[in-house]
Amino acid sequence: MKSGSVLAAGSEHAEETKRTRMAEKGERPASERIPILQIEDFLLTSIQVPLHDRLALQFQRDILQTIERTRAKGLLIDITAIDVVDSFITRILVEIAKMASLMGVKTVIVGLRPEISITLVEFGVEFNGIETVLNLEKGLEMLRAWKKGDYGENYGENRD
Amino acid sequence: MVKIMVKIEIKEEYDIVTARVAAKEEAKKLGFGIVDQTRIATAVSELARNIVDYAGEGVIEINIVRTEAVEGGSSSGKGSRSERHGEAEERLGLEIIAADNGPGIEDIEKALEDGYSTGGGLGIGLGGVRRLMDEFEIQSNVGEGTKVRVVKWKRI
Repeated sequence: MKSGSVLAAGSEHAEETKRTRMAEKGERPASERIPILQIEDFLLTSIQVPLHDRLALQFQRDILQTIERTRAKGLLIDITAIDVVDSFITRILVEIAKMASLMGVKTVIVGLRPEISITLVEFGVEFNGIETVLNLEKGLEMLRAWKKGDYGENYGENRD
Repeated sequence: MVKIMVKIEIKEEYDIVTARVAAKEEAKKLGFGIVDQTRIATAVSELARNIVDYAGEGVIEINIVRTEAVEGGSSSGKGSRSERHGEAEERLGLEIIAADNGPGIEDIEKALEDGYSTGGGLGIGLGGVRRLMDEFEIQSNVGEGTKVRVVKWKRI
């Protein structure tokens, strides 16, 4: 029996997601990468595929390298498309935020859906040290305000 | 009566995704709302990851359970706890069984405490799973393996 296959599924459902079908066939995308975009002084990334160990490590590396290259001040991680936030993905997100923070970058998690929030609280997961906001707009607002405040402290006299 | 719906072999990381997608699908088919679907999928994700991290391989079973048919006759004795609900009408639930022949858990009480992990994780796994589901049973023998059974009952 092929590993990863559903052995006795009675699922003939039209609404099967692409992901389910892919998973049932035991397929995995060859060289997945999570795209990282730049907007103003910030990086924007959206996790739309299930994270696994290898992809998570690649994602961490990519983010840190992009921070170094772009001198970004903030990082927005959109998790709207994630349907399950378990302890693994929480650990990955918290680690990314910690690493980014060491490089002077503030991380904001965007798009925590209601059912995810409920589950996280009951489950007992804590996003220590990470800001979470409802949507991208609020996330950008928060980072802009934070950047301003930061610049205010360090470069106050040089500001226009 | 227990109806076996789906049985998924857990051998590697990607099977965790297969298991939780299947669990969510079954929960949805059974009529669970989005919050319960998420609770169930999260619990399955966690149990499947435990299998991969600690035992290497195992099996996740997703079953539909009913309260009514359980009384007396069930040879496995599964679901006998549902009597504590003290309800006469039939209830539907989704049962998840995660079984492996791994090293087993030495101190189950400790494994259920938040913040305890031997695998470098967050250590909220099993305790968290217990909080997300309505029923939680665990059997583990060192050197033999671990079996976790959880049930989420549908709210009527």
